Amino acid sequence: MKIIIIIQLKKEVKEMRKLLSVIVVLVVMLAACGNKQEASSNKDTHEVKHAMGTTKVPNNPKRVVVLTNEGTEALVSMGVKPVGAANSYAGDPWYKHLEKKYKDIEPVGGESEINLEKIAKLKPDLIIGNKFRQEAQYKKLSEIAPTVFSKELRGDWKNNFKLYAKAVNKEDKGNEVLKNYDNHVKKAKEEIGDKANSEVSMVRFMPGDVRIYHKDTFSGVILDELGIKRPKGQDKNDFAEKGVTKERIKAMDGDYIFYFTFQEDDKKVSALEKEWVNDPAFKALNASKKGHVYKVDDAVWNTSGGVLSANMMIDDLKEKLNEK
Amino acid sequence: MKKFIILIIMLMLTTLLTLMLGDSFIAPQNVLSGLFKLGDPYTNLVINTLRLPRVLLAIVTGAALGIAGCVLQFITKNPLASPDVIGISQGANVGSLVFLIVLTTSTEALLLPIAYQPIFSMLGAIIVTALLYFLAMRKSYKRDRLILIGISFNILCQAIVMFLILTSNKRSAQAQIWITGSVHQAEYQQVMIVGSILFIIMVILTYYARSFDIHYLGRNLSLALGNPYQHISVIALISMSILIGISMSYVGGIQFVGLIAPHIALKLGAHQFRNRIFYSAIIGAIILLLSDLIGRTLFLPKEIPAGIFTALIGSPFFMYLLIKSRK
Amino acid sequence: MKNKYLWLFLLFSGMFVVLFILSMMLGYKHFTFSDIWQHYIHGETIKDQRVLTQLRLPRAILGGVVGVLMGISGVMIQTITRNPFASPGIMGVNSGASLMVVITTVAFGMNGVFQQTIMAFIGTVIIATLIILATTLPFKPFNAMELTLFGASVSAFCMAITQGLLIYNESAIEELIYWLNGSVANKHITILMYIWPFIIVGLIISIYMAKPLNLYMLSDDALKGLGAKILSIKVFTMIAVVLLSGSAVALAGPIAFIGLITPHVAKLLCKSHNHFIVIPLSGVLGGCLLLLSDILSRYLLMPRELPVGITTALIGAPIFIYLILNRKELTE
Repeated sequence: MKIIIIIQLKKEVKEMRKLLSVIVVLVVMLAACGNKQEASSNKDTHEVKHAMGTTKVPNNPKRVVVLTNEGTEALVSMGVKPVGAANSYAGDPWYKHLEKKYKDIEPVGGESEINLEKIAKLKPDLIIGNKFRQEAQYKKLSEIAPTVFSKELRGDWKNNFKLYAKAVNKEDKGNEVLKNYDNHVKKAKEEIGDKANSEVSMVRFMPGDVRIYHKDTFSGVILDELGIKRPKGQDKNDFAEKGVTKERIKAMDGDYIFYFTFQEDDKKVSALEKEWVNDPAFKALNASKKGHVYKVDDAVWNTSGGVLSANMMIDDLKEKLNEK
Repeated sequence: MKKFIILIIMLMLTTLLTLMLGDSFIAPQNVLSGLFKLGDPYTNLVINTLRLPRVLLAIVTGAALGIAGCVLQFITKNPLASPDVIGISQGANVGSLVFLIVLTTSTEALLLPIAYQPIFSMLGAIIVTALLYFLAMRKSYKRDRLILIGISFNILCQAIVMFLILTSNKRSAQAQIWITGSVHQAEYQQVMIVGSILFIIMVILTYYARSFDIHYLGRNLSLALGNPYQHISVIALISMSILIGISMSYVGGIQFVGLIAPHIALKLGAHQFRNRIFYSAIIGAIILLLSDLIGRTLFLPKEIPAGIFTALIGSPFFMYLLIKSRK
Repeated sequence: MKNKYLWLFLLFSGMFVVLFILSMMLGYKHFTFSDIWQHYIHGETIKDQRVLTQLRLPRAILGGVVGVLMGISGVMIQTITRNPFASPGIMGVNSGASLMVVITTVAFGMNGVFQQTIMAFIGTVIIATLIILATTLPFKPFNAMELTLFGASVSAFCMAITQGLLIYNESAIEELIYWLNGSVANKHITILMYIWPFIIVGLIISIYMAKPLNLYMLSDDALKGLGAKILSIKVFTMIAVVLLSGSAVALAGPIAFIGLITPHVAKLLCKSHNHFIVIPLSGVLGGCLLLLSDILSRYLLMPRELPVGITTALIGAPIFIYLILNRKELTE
């Protein structure tokens, strides 16, 4: 009796192993099938060298999908409206200050969590992304459409702007945008005059964290371009000081303090922000006494990070510096 | 045997379902034509580039995790043990995050191409396993010690993970998604690697299946029957860590698959080690497939990583098990 | 014999006081001892005294209190689960609190420190109740392993939902990263006014549990033989652990390691398992450790500060490894 059972068991095992082998072979076959990809060769293309290599992109892209906030701004500034773009970090789905310009663009997920199927559904002919955020998805994106990646996301938006202009084949328009920006900066410098010698301090409130921003930030770069000085502690080429305690309130002082608060709804003023700004130590700062403390828009001054926001920030800054 | 075939059919149906659903619905016949590249370019693209790699990776890693869980439950004789709580998964997470956050330039760009990430993940898993071996198993294997020390490693690694996320300025979102676990970065190459390792380990485990059954009877009986108690424990630990390590390398910190799968296997009547590992493999695959499917479709347009759902299903299930086992 | 223990306790209490004062003195702004003496004893005003009274003092108080709470609850949870590697975190206090804080921040936009604290405490209580109920129904005493595994699973569940919410709402990660790592800075000491009853109750229960816990060191079977009420010992101990460590997490966020290692250090120092001695000693050690960590947090990355939860992990991990390698009862 036992022997029969044992023989049966052995048979079962053999069958199971056979089944498993079949499954594995199927998997391998499918995988092998999936690996080949038809190469598309188009004459209407130009080559772009970017962070992931060199890619042939169409000369006249009609359906562009862009996967960073700053990239979207760049394209829109050159008159290229993408069919799809990565969601803004605030707003639903776009920053308030860019909502109107971004009408009809389809959101494809946050910069760190793009939705590949959505992108594919839009049937793009060009994809613009960023190595820092989406390196792991490069291969798949390339199979959807020719894909160009900028290398990093740093404070200076101009680094990537030129690449984007080349990718959409609008280098002339791109240079025009850049020139207009430089003129804007020059004009602003004149209008600011010697207020540029004031030390401007940048602070950010987030309900769990308070930060003092240094020079390698979006706002830091622009302040630098305008020749505006920073308080000594902030005059560093790194990102920011995080996790600031109230003991450091003195370090926030300058001739002017601009602060922004990261939140979704601008009607809700963060309790934390209120608490710090009303703190006696804060009120004792030189900037507070002179009435030079201003709250500014986090999206424009910090998070969106592109040329459209840069222009808005310059005007905003100018206005506040020239207030009597 | 019949049950096994039913399971396989369920697996295939689930696979078909996951290929059909997503941001756009693709009818079954189009799925098939897409698989063989006979459909329209869009369908081919979605099926072959976007969905199939995920599906295949979910299957092989789900199977790997299911088997790892089964092995652990066998050698600890504890139906509540899960590979995720003894620290190996978290060790892999630490390895991955070290790669993403520590090995970066001052502007947080990666020092190495992202293809190297799995190596660090594997290293993390191996280091924790080695520590577990030295602390819990060196002189003699003791079930409880393995679990207890493992849990502390878990806590330690979780603290390190949180610390690393804190120190990053720009990669916190990416790190967060990784430690939750997702199959969205699947590539065919990964499937091949995990698949082959899975196959090899399955062969080894099947070979030792009888020894595992005897190991279950306890140390004294094992030794009396001439069974290498310590050796089996070591083989179990190594195969578990390899399966978990390689899975976590590609999929991030997915939890609970190793807990649920062997239990369902047991409920379906798979008492012997040999049967249980096969059942656990298939069930694990189905669980991960479904979790990924739910995450991809239920919250459109956002994509929620599969790891959330394995935990959401897994924990209540575990609590139910616990309460039931006490009656 | 008793004298030896008393000396140990006094020694570390003294160190506690020293560290407390140092915590007031050191940091981005330095105060000298005479500054503090003059201000508090003589009532004179000194420069920057606002920093001293409104920032340093609350911080030192919190550090001391939270450290003590964790030290005490650490001893109890290790005894009751017969697991030298247990820490109060396995009762779900850390993950339950984190989950509640994340839910209320993401879903309701609650964003004040005060609200976070209350929510954290509520979260702790909910999760811990769940764990206690699950492991004690149907009124059979649970075994240590069950509690450990169950707690670990519940924690994993909470963490998964927490992570899910953080992913769903990317901005929340940045908002909460400081809470999730534990800190005694930037907190409102007024919260103590609301939480102190729970702390007092927890401490009272702990004192009552000292003797039963000494007995508990025997196995379950031996206890049964002695007629001890195992279930009530377990339940009351767990309640005490939740009250104490829950308060600690509510006040400072999840802080790792203190509840894990101070019991061992205490037992190592006094060479005894008597809970009447180990509980207070571990408490004092916990306070010392946390105060020390907080001081170091200010210096490691001057002028930046690390959240104290990280410094305790940095100090705690090597101590932990040392303990593992050298404590016989951990490696046998």
